[in-house]
Amino acid sequence: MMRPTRLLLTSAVVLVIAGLVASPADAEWDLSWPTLRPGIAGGQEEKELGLSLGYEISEGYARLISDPGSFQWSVRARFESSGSYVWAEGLNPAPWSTVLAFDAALNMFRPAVNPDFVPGELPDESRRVPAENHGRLRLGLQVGHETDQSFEVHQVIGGLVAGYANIRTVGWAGLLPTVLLFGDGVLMVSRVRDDEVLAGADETYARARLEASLKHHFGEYLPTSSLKPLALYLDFRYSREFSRGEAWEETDRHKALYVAGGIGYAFQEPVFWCLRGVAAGVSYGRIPPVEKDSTVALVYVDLGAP
Amino acid sequence: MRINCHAHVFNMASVLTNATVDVLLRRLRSEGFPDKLVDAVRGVLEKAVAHAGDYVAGDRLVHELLHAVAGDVSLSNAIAAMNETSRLQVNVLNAEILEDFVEHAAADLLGKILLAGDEESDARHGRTFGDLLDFARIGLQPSIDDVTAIVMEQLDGDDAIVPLAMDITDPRGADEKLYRGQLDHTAAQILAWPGRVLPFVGVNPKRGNTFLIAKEYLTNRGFVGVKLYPSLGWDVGCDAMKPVYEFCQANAVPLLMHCSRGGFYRAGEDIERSAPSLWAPLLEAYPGMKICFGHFGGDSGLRKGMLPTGWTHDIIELMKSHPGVFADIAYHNGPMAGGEEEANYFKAISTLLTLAPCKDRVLFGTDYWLARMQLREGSYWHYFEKSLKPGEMEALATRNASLFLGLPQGNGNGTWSIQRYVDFVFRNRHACRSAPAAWLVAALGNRYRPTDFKTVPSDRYWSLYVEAHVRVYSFFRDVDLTPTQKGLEFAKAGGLVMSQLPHWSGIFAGKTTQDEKCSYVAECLDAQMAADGAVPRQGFESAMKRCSEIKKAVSDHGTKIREVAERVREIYRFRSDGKAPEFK
Repeated sequence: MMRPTRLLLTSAVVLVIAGLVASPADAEWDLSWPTLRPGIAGGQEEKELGLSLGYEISEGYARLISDPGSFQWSVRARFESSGSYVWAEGLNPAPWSTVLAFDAALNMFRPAVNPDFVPGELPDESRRVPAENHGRLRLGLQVGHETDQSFEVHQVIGGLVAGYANIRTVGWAGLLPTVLLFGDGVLMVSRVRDDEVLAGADETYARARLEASLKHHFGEYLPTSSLKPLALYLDFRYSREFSRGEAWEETDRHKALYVAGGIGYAFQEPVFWCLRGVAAGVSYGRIPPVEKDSTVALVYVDLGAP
Repeated sequence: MRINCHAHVFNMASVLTNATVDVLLRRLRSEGFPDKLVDAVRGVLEKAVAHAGDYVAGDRLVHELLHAVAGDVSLSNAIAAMNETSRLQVNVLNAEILEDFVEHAAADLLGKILLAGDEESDARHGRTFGDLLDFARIGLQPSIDDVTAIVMEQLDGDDAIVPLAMDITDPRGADEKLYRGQLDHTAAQILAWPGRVLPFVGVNPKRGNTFLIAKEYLTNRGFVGVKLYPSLGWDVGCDAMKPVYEFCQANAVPLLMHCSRGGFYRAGEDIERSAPSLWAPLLEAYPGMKICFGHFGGDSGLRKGMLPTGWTHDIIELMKSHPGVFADIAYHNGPMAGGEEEANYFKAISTLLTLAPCKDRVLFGTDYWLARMQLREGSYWHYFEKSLKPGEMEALATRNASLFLGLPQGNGNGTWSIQRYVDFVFRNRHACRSAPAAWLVAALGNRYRPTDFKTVPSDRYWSLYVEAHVRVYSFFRDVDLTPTQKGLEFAKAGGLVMSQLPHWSGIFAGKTTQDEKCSYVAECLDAQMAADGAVPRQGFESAMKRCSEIKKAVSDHGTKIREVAERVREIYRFRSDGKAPEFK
């Protein structure tokens, strides 16, 4: 029987290829030249610097399936590759990454039916049908390859992402959080030097991640007009790795929880010339690669030119 | 404030028809450009007629003209024979083309060709190939907005222009929409440059309803005078002009008539229809009527000797007996050749500005952008500022111009048409795109409470008159504003930034989550624009590219809604784009 990880990998590859080749007549490529980024890399402990040259390629291929007036199904295939070469190898922690991804999204949005434009006037509300906005569903699969800049370690990864995005912040609909679930796994590992193969270290493993966030403008229900811009924010993130080995799990590094909450206020017009909004809250936990849980008070000040 | 009393801001697309191409080409030939070059321009203009309104046509057509010259040895030789400057310009063109032509946009190449020459030499070197190219570039600009912006960039802060609309299209009715489009887009320039653009409406009695059109634009659209061009084939004494004269006399509306043997004309015999002597009986019949004889009968009348000659002499005679007679010195490029004639010219101007009644009746004008056939607008101003005696420019461009136009003096309100101008700006004060000139601020203060007037600075351009702005506002109102934000008036809602909108979660969401929401907003906005009938502009045919560009805007916490709208305007063409604006 095929192992689940292999099954996932095979499914992802098939779906990506199917997405690329199916009915290309009304699809379109978005091609662009690679972006090169020269820079300087530094190490905190080594206290040395090295010149670096990074690259980034992102090519896409998309199809819109629905009619413009209905909910929009879109299907997109992407090829993305990025990495950097540092002329001091120890200073380059980032892998060379190449990903082939296939996304399907349903924008549950129905455009407004507007009357003809009349210069100098806003559309007559009695003659228009407002847009419907119910959020976005997304399902994506991806396969990829990661290596270091010396090409000694190679990993094949595969995974999926599923989620729902909601931008409504009032009423019952405003209580629906935006949720994204990521599941991916290191499916194959190969190393050039056998002496680096440690017990358990090259086992394939899987990881899962959940992000959920909510923004609700509860101030809209308050009677005082100056309090109406108040909003409640909640942010929940959880990640977990599977089959990393007992030593890894004993140190509790295989799972991470992060919870944050706060209240924000957005000024309708900047105050003190440049202050647009403030938010304050508290967070608990950690977001990998941070390894230690902590409780942090959060203060956010939104500044900008008027 | 100095005023250029004789300018044009129409673009070729707003006047071009198959019938007018011949008129324009005849003008080029009369200016001395070689026949082969004029033929090459004909090809470009014919394409411009076919592509009228195309956003990119102008740049592409200039590019094609450069190609045509570079690929034709005999044409290059004909241009090189014009003068030394033209020869050098053709050499630059050919060298650039040999090097790497495809890499250059037409504007870049033009820049290289025109690189040599300060304002002084620009005025002195006569007509060149580069001048013709830049003339074509300006004329082929996509809109009257662009043509106006080019001249305003070359003027000092408070300087003003009098753009003269021209009804040179086929007046038998078919082109009325085109002509009204020219007038409406010219009226929009008043709101773009309030107090600094004082347009005249063209009257052509061959168009049956010409008086009604003129009256409408003088009364309700901010036009302050009437432009006449009889050499297009009509008689200044015809019956159809009587209501025009009666109206102008009764309301002190100034007229300006083309009055030189150059310029546009339908046929050779029509040139004499601009003769000033034809106005003696009219000025007797309509005493006090203000009429400016454009070009002062032509500069030759002032540079040939001590005493003015020809039509110039006739105009001065009319000035002596009629207090409403003025003249302007637009397109007086003859003196720029230097020598004795230049000295005669400026001596004559000095004399006129000293003696009554002429001293108050001579106006400054350049004939922008038609004068670009020889020199840049800035060079024209520079030449006259340098050559006139101290105080003479002030008399021509400020004192006499204010008198002719009827601008407010002291605490007055100005003449009838100026008052209508002030009213027009006031009615449309929320669509203004720059701060008003000082005289207009004072005039508005006299007629309305000063606090009632506020402008929308150009860097905050956000108008109910722009379809992209209204469509984007409606989209955000439907899907991405809180109830309180929906209650803001349109002007204030445009200033909301992305971090204030519901889709923004700031520090309380992961990057991927925020990215997902921004993707949703961008894709929905793209779908809404399609539903509103907007079509992608060239280069944005890919939905991915459009969504990616919009996403960049909505992903930046500091981007304002009006800035998203401007980006949308760059990405899509709306049904109303290119159509004439409507005013209150």
